[in-house]
Amino acid sequence: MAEGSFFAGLEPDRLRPERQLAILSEASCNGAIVSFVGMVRDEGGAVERLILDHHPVLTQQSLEAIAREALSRFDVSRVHIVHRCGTVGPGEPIVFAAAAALHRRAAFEAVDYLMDRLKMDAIFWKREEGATGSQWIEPTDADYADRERW
Amino acid sequence: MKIRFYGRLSELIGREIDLDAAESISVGDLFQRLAQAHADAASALLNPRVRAVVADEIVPRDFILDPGEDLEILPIVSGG
Repeated sequence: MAEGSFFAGLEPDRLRPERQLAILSEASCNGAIVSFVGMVRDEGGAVERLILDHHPVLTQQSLEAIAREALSRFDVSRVHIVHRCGTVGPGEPIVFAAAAALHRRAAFEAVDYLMDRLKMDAIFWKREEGATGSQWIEPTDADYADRERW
Repeated sequence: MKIRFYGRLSELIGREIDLDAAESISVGDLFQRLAQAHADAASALLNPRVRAVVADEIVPRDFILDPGEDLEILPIVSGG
């Protein structure tokens, strides 16, 4: 695999996907960029906010480990991850995950991988809050199955 | 000894508690002690996928904590 680089960071304020894409484009314009933006679902109005608790050191390390692993597995030149922490509202971006590569296939696969890993292994604790109360979220069977794909 | 909790455990027990520990204690024994003191958090606390962290490193249940050594307890992560 080619030597690659990455950026992985936590964003306590509003995540601006277009800004992150511009940063990645400037750092790496060599064929293809694939990006994914995850948004908070409102679950039919039931969710008023999502709270993302995180560890001050280990969460950042988990994002970096996932980015490094993607670089080692796929023929991509750069990986870029930004994840929200704190309070996020419905419809707001919660994660930006992207990869740059000479050819599109590797970039698509890398981003698919990034999201499956982030969904399972990123160190966050999420709580949905709404009019009917609040609940902590744990990975679903589908999340475990997605993680096993790799 | 300060013990810091995250996620569901921080809601059940509090973000941080101070525990009197005059002698060294294993992480596993400390978990049992906490589970007895916080019955409503016992099942969440004693799940084997809950991780113990000392100085930003994950440690096993047989890790011996010295008096005054701080611990962080991480419940099952939600993922991103």
